[in-house]
Amino acid sequence: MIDYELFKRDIPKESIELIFINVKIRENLRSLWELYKSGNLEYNDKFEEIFNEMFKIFLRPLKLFSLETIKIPKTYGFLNAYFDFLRSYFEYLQSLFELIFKVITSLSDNPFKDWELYLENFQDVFILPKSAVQNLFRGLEGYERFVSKYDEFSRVLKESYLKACRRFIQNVKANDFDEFVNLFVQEISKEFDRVLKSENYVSLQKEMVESLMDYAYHIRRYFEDLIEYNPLNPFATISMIDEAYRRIQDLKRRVDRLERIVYGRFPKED
Amino acid sequence: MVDFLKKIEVKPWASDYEVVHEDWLFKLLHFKSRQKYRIPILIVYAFINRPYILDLHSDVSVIKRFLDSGLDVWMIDWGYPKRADKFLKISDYIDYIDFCVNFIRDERCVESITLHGYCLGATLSCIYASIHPEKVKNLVLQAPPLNFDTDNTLAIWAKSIDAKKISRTLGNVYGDLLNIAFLLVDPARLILEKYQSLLKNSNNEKFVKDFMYMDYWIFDSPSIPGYVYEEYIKRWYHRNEILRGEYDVEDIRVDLNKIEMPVLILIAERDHITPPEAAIPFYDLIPSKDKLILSVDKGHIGLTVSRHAHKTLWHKAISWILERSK
Repeated sequence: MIDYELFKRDIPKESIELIFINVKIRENLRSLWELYKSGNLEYNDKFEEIFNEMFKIFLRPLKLFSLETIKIPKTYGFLNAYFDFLRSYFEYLQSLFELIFKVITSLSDNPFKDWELYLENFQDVFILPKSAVQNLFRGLEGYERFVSKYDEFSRVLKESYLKACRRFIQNVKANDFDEFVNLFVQEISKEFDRVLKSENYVSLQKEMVESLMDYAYHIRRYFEDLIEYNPLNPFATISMIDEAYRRIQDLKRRVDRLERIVYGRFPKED
Repeated sequence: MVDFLKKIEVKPWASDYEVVHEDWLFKLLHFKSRQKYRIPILIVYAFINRPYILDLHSDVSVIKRFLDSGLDVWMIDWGYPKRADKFLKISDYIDYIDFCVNFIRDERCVESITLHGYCLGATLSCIYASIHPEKVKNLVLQAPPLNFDTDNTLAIWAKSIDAKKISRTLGNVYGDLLNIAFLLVDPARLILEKYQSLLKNSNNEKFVKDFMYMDYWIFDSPSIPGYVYEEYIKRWYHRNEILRGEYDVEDIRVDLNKIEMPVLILIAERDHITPPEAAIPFYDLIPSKDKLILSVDKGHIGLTVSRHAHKTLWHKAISWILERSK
């Protein structure tokens, strides 16, 4: 049970999580230490639990991209006509997100068929701008690539961990619990130092990150296309706001440059 | 342990300072001191993490050491970029360094100052010093990434990244994601060993407090503006443009042959972020006749906050600076 009082204090949330993770890991290491002392140390579910605890933090960036994290709260407080309008608009988006999330989490052998079905049932494809359909399918292609790479990524991490554990079980010679923990860390560290630099891991990580980025970018662009194309839409999209930021930044640079010319401080050119 | 954690108060910035200039995101800070030396020192920290690592708490504060030795200390704070800052470029950072250097020169009536860059702030400082060598009397580079073609895990990963895809999706590269990436570089030590050691020492209040100060800083990570991230990964990591003499700031070439001023390089031998090889080829390349490397057997952060580094390295570094600050 998390003591939420901690979140009001100065301790970073990452530290809180890593402490909780390590408390669980330490309990498992204690059980393994007992097995070691009795001469019965072998790979078991305690090692599995350590792996799961240690690497769950690796999933954090992936969760950020899940459509589940962008569910819109249903409580709007003081409702009036404008909020009613907003609510129906948000609910439309909400149902769209839910539908998409449902399809994504239950991808069949042919995910594109599911989406073709979705477009036939829920959208008139000829009303949508072409870029929306293109972004939707590019996003899905990204997701499909991501899922396969992510499975491979998890497998590589697990295999490396298993290899390190096997070596640890074979070689461990410890006089006390602290030494036992240090030797375990050393074996894991040795193996991961090698794996994380390997060509296979680096290319896998690259493809996984890139496909995740493609998925997130194109799905966002798909929603933006839907919103930007709708003449009743009262909202600016991220891309529209970004364009405004870009222009403001360019203007600021021009003002700065002019000031420097006026004050004679523009960098000398070769 | 939880009860004790609740009692911990983390109050970084051990020394008093005032904000003397603000430019939207960027700030120039000036530390209060009894200045004994004529040449001021401007500290340029990285745009990743926060500059108060140099003033984390009074036991291990580099700033305090500078102030106690009579230096006039200034520092740039790059702030916490928001979505609105996505289109900042590295040239905007160099321009702000130039603004600050001019500001300090005017305030103190000096021609040139000591520029002290740390981590990616050292990269920015080196770029600045090559463009405006006349304004930099001494150049101090702490854990400087200047040769990006190294074989540490972080560099290998950075060389494989498509930064454009990341920045177009995220806008800015969030601090939370960077934190996780840094943990992934060395999971056994940074996720396991470090926290197992905390649990082992959970009854040692001083240990826990020092640990939490460090963690507070480690996880206080600002986002990197999208365009800056793209340029940093593509031009520095992928192409190693600075060392190759191919980097330019708004068409002004960064020529390392112009680094003729006195140069002090501080490196950590066990630095997994900026290993010694990231600095040594630069040291060999520059024409400065007054150059020195000081090193300590610590990691990237230990170089600044370990008591060992304070005992063995910082007094030498400060003596070097003082001799050239009269």
